Amino acid sequence: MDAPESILLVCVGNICRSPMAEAFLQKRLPHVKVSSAGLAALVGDGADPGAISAMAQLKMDISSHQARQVDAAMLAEAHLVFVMSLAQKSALEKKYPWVRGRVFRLGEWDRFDIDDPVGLSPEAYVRARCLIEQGCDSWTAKLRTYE
Amino acid sequence: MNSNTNEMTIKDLLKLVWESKWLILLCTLIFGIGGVLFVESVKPVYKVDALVQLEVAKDSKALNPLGAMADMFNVASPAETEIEVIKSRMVLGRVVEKLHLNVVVTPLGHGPWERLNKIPRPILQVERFDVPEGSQGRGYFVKVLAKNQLVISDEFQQQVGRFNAGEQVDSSLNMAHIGIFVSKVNALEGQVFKVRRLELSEAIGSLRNDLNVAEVGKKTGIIGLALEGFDPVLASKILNEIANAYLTQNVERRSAEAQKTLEFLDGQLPQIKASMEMAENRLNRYRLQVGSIDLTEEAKIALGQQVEVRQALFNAQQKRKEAMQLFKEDHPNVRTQDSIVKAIESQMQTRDHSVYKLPLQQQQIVRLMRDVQVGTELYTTLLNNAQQLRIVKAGEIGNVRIVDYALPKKTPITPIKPLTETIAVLFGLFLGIAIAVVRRFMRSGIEDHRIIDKELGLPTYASIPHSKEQDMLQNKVRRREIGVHLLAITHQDDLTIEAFRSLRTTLNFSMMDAANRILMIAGPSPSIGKSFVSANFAAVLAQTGKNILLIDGDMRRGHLQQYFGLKRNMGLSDVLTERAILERTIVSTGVQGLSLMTTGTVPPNPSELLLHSNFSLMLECLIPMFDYIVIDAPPVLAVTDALIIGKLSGTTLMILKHGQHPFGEIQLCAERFTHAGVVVKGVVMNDVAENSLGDEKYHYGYRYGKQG
Repeated sequence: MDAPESILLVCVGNICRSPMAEAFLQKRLPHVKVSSAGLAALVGDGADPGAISAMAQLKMDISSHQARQVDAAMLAEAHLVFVMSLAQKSALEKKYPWVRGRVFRLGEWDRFDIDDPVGLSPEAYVRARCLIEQGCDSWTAKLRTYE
Repeated sequence: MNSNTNEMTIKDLLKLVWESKWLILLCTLIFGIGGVLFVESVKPVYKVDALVQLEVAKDSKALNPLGAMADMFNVASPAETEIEVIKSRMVLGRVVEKLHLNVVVTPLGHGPWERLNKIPRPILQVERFDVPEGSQGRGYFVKVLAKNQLVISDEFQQQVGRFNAGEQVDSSLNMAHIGIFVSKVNALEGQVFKVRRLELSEAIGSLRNDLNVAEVGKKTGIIGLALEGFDPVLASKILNEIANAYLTQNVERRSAEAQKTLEFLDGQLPQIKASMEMAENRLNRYRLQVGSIDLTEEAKIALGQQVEVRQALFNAQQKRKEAMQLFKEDHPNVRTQDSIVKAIESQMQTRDHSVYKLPLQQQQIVRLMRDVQVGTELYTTLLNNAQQLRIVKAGEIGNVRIVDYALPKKTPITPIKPLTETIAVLFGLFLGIAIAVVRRFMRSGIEDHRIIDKELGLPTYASIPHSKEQDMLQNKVRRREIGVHLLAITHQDDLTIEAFRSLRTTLNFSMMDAANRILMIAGPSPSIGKSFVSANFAAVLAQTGKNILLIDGDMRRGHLQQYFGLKRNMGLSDVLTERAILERTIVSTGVQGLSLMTTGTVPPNPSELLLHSNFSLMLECLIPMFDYIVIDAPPVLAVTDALIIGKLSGTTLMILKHGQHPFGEIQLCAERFTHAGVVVKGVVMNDVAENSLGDEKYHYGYRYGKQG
């Protein structure tokens, strides 16, 4: 299989989990176009402060992120779509039946959902960040085997 | 559709209605038209009504010259009784006979079609129709030969005779003893009428069926008469006749009592007259014999008294006789009269004795003159009474009044056109929805991929939406036009093709561990889009720069070459039967990187060919030549071919048409694969309908607050 040319990361608000995942994945797959969007995005908002500080601990900057709403064109353009949970996967597949097959959980290979840390303690943000990083690592390893 | 719970929500129903709108519309239209045709073709029934008032005859006393005596003639009947009288054979029989209702004329060949086309009903007015005894109820046929020329034949089509309208045909003039008089003909030449003479009872019975008599309200003394019939004019005529017949019989019944008394008086009169004349004769004879005699004052008084008492006696006797007409002997009225008679009789004896004191001649003359005077007085009294009764009888108007006569109505009671049509339309609408619902439950095709995943452990790899463009392409395929008719080529941006790309992505992962790069596309039944999926998916695969071979594995009915505008030529079957070398059967399709192997010559034994080692040898040769081999397999539930191919394929996909397959069918298909040792990787749901009512909005619990 060819390495995917573009990857879309989807969560709900596109201000916390997906921007973090976007940053991790883009760093690991520099030649792939990585972007993110939300199922019910707070369009135009910047990244969540909690997420920014959690990422800052790893010297990664996501403060320039701007939330956008997922649409059919984005989904059609992406070769792979990663979501944070099974619920998001089925929501996406219900609204856009044709995306079934290119949508995967970020934690698919270790079978975990990544819960939303927004509004919770900084520890929760760090926990979510770790899971996201783990998912990105698994997927990067998977995708590299095809190259 | 929430097939999980088998419940139907309003939303599901609305969606179903929308999806089956053409069926429902068709159903509604059919029933609507049917309803209109029905109301236009059915014989309209008209209803006419009349009102009759029963008068409690209190006020008639004032008009009655006999005053209190009139009480005897009053017969107050409650409405129920009168209703039965109206429905009696006595009243209805008169109407039937007067209006010839026992002759039934039916024009033949005037049915719903003629009514629909507003062709007027042919008319044959039969005033009289006499048939021999025992032939009542039999059908005779009257045919119109020319204007006013008629021919009548019996039930066996045996001609009885010719006659003209307006001509009296006497029953003694023909062999069949049929008498007929037709007053009016209004029909085309050749029109045949069926004429039946009903038995009186039958005619009355049918009239009674159509007649409805009931008291209006409670104890109002007003009786409503209603009659239903096909001809409003005739119906009102009949109803008025019924009202009149009832009125007549009522008057007759009331005057009947006066009549009875009158008859009694009339019987008495000649007798009294005779005895009066006899007494006169006797007096005259005596006067001639003895010459003229002057009565003394004393004799005059005796005479007056005797006449008076005799008159009283006669009156008493008369009253007793009258009472005897109405009452039995031991009735108080009769007894009172009896005692009065006795009292007068004893008084008369004492009066008679006083006469004996007079001289003999005077006695004789008083007796004779008394008889004459009494006789004359009695006769005059009776005559007076008789006259008075005649006046009573003539003044009798009955206690019934016709308030309203029937008027022919223009609007029929059935069919009520707008109502019937509305009901028909609504019924059609309802039936359409019902059919749609039943069809849905009958089909109960699986629409929810989760059921397949849950029950059979088969994940759904992709959902291919229905594509309108594909419908147009399919026509080109069917017409075998030249050129590539693949959606994946002609409409690369179509969401349907995006779905194929999604399938490609997911297969990338799942085919990683597969034994080989052969992908079999199979499905339970024919016509579910296996070829469409195979061809388009092969093209989508080829678009990534890979070398793809598409094999049409359906050696019975395969037609993959049509998608590429190619001919069948040499193909799979020819390789397997070693009639062609492998390289010659692989043709390029006009799609970059995509080659095709058609089914080849249709063989008599496809399954056997696949079982032959040639097939596995062929695949072994092909594997190194291509990156992927896609095989379009025949239906699993029809033939075993797919199971044979499946064993050699690294990956098997089951194609299902959305909502088309009952669960059992999918289950059976999956079981066949399992028994054959073929592992089905996943399901591709084809032809997923667009959610026309819009899908649920994303309800995922959104917990973000607006934070700054």
